[in-house]
Amino acid sequence: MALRLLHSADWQIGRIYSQFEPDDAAALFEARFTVVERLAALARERSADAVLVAGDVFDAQTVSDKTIRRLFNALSGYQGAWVMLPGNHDAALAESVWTRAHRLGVVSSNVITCLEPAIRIIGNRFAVLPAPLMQRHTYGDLTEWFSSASTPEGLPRIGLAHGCVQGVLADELDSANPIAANRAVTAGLDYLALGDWHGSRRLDERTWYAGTPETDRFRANDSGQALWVEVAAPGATPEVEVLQTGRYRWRQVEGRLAVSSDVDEVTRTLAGVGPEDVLQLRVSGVCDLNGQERLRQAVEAARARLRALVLESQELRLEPTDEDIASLRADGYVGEALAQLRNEQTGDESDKAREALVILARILNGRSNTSAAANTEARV
Amino acid sequence: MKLKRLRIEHFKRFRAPFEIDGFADGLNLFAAPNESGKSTVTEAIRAAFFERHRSTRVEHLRPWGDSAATPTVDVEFEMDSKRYRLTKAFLGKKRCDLTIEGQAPLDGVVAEDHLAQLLGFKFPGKGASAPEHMGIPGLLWIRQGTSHELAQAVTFAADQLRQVLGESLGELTSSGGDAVLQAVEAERNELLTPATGNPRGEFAAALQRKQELASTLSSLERDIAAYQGSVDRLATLRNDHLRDEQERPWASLREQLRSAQGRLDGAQGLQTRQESEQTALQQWRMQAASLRSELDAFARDDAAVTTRQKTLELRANAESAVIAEMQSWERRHAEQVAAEAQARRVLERVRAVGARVETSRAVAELANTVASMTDLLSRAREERTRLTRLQAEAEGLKVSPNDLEKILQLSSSLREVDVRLEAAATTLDFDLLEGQTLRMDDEQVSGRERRTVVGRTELFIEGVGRIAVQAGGETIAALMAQRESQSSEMGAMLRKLTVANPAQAQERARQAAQRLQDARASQKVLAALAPEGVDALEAELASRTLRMQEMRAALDELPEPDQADALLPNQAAALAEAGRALAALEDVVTQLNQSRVTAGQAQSEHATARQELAAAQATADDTQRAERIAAARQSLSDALAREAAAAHRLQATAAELQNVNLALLRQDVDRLTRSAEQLEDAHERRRQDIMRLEVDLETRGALGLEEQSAELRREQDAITRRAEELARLAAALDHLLSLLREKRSALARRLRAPLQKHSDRYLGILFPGARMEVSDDLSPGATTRLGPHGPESGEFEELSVGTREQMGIVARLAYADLLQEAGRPTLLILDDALVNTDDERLGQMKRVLYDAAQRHQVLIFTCHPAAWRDLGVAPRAIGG
Repeated sequence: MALRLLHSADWQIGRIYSQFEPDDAAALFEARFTVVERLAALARERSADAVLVAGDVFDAQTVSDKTIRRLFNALSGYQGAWVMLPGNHDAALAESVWTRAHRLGVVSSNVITCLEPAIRIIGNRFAVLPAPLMQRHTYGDLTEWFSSASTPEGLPRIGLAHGCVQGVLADELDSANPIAANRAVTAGLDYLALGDWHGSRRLDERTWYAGTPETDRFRANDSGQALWVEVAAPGATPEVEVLQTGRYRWRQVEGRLAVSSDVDEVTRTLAGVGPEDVLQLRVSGVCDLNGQERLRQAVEAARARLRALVLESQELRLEPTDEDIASLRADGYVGEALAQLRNEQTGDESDKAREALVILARILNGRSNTSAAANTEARV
Repeated sequence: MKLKRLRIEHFKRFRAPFEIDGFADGLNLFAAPNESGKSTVTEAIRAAFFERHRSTRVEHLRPWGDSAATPTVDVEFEMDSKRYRLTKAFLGKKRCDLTIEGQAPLDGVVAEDHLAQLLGFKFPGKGASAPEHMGIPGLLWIRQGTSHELAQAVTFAADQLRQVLGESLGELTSSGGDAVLQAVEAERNELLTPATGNPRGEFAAALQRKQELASTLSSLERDIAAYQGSVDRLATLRNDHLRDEQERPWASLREQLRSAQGRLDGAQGLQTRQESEQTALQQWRMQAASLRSELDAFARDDAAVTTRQKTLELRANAESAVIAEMQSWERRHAEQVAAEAQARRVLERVRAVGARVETSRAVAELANTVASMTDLLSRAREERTRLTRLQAEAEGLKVSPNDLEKILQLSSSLREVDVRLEAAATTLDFDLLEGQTLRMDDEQVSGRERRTVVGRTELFIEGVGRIAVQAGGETIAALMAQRESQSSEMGAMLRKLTVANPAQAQERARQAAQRLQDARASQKVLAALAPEGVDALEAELASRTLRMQEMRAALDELPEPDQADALLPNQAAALAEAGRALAALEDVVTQLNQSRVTAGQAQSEHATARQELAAAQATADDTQRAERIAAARQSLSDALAREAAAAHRLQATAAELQNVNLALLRQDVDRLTRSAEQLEDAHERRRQDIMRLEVDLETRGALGLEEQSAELRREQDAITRRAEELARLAAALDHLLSLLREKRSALARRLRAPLQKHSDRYLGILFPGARMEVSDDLSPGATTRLGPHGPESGEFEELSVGTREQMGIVARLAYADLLQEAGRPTLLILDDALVNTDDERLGQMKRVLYDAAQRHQVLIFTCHPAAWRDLGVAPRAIGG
């Protein structure tokens, strides 16, 4: 019978999202536990032989006891083997989140924490060759020993490592924790389960990054997934299936405003968001008072619907139209001030001028509304 | 606007119709005394414009005491070259008609509102018109005594003025610009302090929180770094510990130590032997010394016997010499005792003889004294008896001086009464025949006799009968009564003194005085005889007598005189002799005692020497002594031999020891022991360090430091975003506020310019070179004038009432010019407006007013026509 493994990594339990409002940050914090529960459910439903977690289970060494307990509680949905590897965030140091977890007595017997580079035989079904990080940063290849390690005959050899495969990920060339690109071949591995890269990624037919099961940043392709790996027999090419596990969709929306219809497009995008969306909206360009107000209202409306929103509008320039100005009915010296603020939009302190213009417009709008409501009152 | 005609009827003072016609276009001067209706005229003009014709609050317009009248004002004026006529009737038949040249007439409220619009004032919602409604006319129509109060009037006219000024400057005014400015200011002041522009409120709180978070975070990061450092250290320690556990570097040291210890132990055995040999040598030396001293002791015993014998002889000789000396002193002692007794006896005899002589002399003296005192006492006693007698007699004869005087007085008075009686009495001269008698009252009268009669006296002549003679004169009876009373008083006095007549009384008084004098003399005698009284004298005599008897008895006790007494030395010599004898005796006694003590000592020493000799002899004579001496000699030679052997052994051992370096061996052992212990200790310490670190890390790990710091960083990011947002907002608000203020200020300057121009023109007439600022609210501000010490500046409100009055009018004229330029109607009414102004200034003000009247109609009401004589227009009267 084929060996069936659920490959995941980079849970980053205990991560806190500083760019969001407290309640949004809390929900995203929670989501990392619920996705683990979802993984447990998947492993149970698909009768996995084991779940491999290739490092960075925890986001930090000193998370709270409560966080540790919650993580191990979240595993209870799957009674099979959880094979966990320390990564760079949760390295197996002399004192680590792992030693704490063991001390707390929350690590149940079906959870195998690979704190040392030693072969483990899991349920007499396969051999795991783990390459745990035992320092915060390692500049040598920890998987090197795989090549010389012998495992019982007839059991598939499964490598488990966390780091950066050399020569593949161009932008992380000189990062720490290097892993040789051909390790699976040189070490005769049936499958090398990797962690550290937050998107799912195939390096060769036997070497995969699982990616994080719940997206945690805007720029992460193919995250929010786990890998279903089946190894028919030792030496056979593994079959890998990508499973969707994440709940929240992290999106970046760029709005370059030039004409009034550009605002409409942004508002349409905003109108389409739902409670699973985590959105970063970056607007730039030029916009009139009316557009600015419509944008503001659309953002406020969206904020109430989606999970979290980050608005970046520093690049947006406000250019009131003559109609805007006329509708504000600013005469006398207020009118002069308004005109000057319009001119300052292109100056050195355009941010300040824009803000001032918005405030003035708001006050004038408020006034024209109230004075319309009470125009019978005698002027003073 | 120019008034043309005014007609009033049933209006306050003017019950009958009153009309002013032919108002001049320029100056109009109305001069009238007080209470003649000046104010009624101005009030009528005000009422016509400001009060609604339907108002019920204008009761005061009615003539006094006429509650049914309809106050009516009819005013014609010209405005914009059009003729207007306004007729207004109040209270009774309420009516308002306005005819305008070339237009359809208006009436009622429409007419009123039309005028209000034209002239720039308002009507109150209800009730009577108040200053805040009067607008421009309220400013230009100056009520009596209010010309110096300008600020409020300007405020009430501000809207119209602004409008006018605004119109004159085009559409520059902002509709409610100030409200916008206030809103901006309020928002800005929520984030920044008004004065310094420092953050406040939420902004300040956000910055504060940001700083707090930064500091908390940095401390947390330090903790995390420390924690990580500890983790690394733990790893190092564990590695080191494991290595030592395997290598056990202290074990080889322990082996080396064991062999070094063996070598040291051997060397140390040699030294112990040397020490015990040293001890043995020492013991033999001491043994030999002890034996030598024993033999010395035996030799000393023999010498002692000889010495003691010599001593005994010396002691015996000394004893006999001392005893001889003592016996000699005993003899001399007996002799001196006898000599001293003899001297004492002679002294006693001398003293007895002296005492007898002395006592005899005292007894004789006392006998004399007692005799003379006895005599003195008897004389004193006699004198005392005499004194007592004299005092008793004097007491018996004593007459009170008052009594005596009284008696003498009465006697003299009686004599006088008798004389007067005699004089007044009837004298009866009898010359009776021999043998013939008659009886006068009960008295026999015969012969020649003369009697006086003072009372009724009956003469009885036998055989003839009775003749009653009645003394004449009225005084008789009174005198008789006086004499009767005085003689009875006299009788009583004499009886009291037991004398027969006054002469006797006088004699008794004299005798009593004589006795008293004698008694005083006798008292002096007695005092001389016994100064301390007779009794004291008696007592002293008794005492002296007793003493004399005692002396006599003492004399009898003394020994009889002897013939040998004459040979005795005098007392001083005897006393000296006795003293010398006693001193000599005491000397001898001392010497004797001393020699006795010496003798005792000598005897005792002799006895001791004898005993010592006996003891020494006994020792020397002991039978076992010789054996002991022999034994000791043998022992000594034995001990000396052993001592030599021990010294030899010791020398050999010392030579052996010199070949072994003990100190170096000890150092080897010490060094190796320490090294091994250090390694073991370090190992143990490391084990403990590991344990401590483990515990520490366990504890600190549970704090969730990184999770905490991540959470704090999240909050820091949030608060930083908020603070930046607020900073942007605050900067924008601040910018907007200053921009609005700047624009507003520029606008205000532009708005004020025309008003400033007119104001400067009039002020130049009043105070050449002066300048008055026009403030933002268009009211007069600081004024600068040329004073005696250069330019002086002051706020309008700080000026004197008179100056403010003048400036108030100047300002109003400037407003009027301004209004006129804007095509607004102007009319100036000054109701006694310059009452606080002096003549000189009034002169200037007339120039000002004359100048203003070139452009405006000006109505001046005054009660001082003389003051306005040179205004250039004839004054017009009001009323009557």
